[in-house]
Amino acid sequence: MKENSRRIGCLFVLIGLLSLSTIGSAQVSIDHFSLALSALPLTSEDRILAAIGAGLSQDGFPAARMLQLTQQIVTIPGSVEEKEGILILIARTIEEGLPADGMIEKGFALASALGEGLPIKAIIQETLKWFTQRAPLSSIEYGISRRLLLLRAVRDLLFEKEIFSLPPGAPQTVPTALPEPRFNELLLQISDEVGDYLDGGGSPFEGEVLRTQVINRLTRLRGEVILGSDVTLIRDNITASDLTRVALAALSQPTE
Amino acid sequence: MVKGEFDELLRDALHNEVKDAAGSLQGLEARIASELEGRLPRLRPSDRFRQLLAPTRAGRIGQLAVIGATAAAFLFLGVFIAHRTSLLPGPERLSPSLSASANREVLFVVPALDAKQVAVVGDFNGWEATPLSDDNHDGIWTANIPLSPGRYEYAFIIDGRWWGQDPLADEYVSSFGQYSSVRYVGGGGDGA
Repeated sequence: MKENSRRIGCLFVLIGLLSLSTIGSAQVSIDHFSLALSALPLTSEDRILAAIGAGLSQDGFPAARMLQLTQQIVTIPGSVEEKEGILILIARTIEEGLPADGMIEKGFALASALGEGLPIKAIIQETLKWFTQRAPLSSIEYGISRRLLLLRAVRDLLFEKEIFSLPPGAPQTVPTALPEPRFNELLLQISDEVGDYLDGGGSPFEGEVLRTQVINRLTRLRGEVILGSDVTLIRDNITASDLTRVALAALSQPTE
Repeated sequence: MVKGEFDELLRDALHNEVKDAAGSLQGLEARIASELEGRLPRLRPSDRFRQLLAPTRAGRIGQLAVIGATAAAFLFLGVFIAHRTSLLPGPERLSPSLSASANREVLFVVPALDAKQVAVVGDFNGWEATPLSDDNHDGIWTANIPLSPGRYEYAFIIDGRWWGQDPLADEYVSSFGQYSSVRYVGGGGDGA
């Protein structure tokens, strides 16, 4: 009798859990995403919604977490292009038939960086390239984390060298305080070059080689993308050992 | 009528005949030429072009090969100069193109003789294929893509296979064991 009651109790608990999970997944529908995304003027809204719709029909798709990310992306500051980029990365993961939970977490990390004012468009493009190269998903996720570490490490290095980003509209009182777009362009190009260098098998200990590559890249972009004075600013302030330190930091820190 | 009078009359008559005929001879050459032109078959532009070539078939083929090679050399030179010109240092602007800069048509070209499908992927199209075309079926695939000044990574996809080492690239980067090409559009290049 006691055994039967126990079995009945277990059965009820099981039914209860199943019901909860059904209700949980039923709570998040494509309409929620459609409503959230309607706040952004996206160019690929149909594609993103189609991918999320496909994800919702899969077992184990973290629908509630994805909705949370979508809502966060809508509210954080940052360019629509970069916000859409984060959503495209998740859409691409689903389209490739890969589990999206890890990429959704990387989406939170990217959204957080974007909210801090960091330029993430180069990381998004790099990730899309890795998808097209058919790199393993775990390597792609690790790559995003490493590029984010590099972005923060280079930003900290620029701050250390007293190269700052001015808020919009603020007057430039010192030459090392740059308007935000100029600061972000330098940050993006330097961190992307260090990332490319490391991905290509370059040694972080060969700081001179790394520095030469960084300066060459900035110089090639001088004129229409980066001001010559900003290239000079970096050349005069960033040393080979600085870049070695940045590269080592990105390689040695645990990824997010 | 005496013989002298007859001779005089005959001479006057002949003189008058010749005088009358002289008027109608004026412009005779032009009239004949015009008449002949009307009777001769009219030449088409291609026939006129052929008249410029060598008289024999073998000679014409040789002449056409030389003309073709010269045209190809000029075409290649033009593409090369256009490509290099886009990398020449421009005057430094007061505000960088972070604000707004005009797009430039950038030519992507790749030889792929037996390919069925060729596309370019890069950070200008979200690494999703933009097809190249080979309209004259000579195995040279091309696409013109408008790009704003900046640095662009790209690769060609030839019949589904990654091909990342474009000889026209400014540099190459490697990730996951595969190369990608890099092109700089606009900007400097001669040292800051």
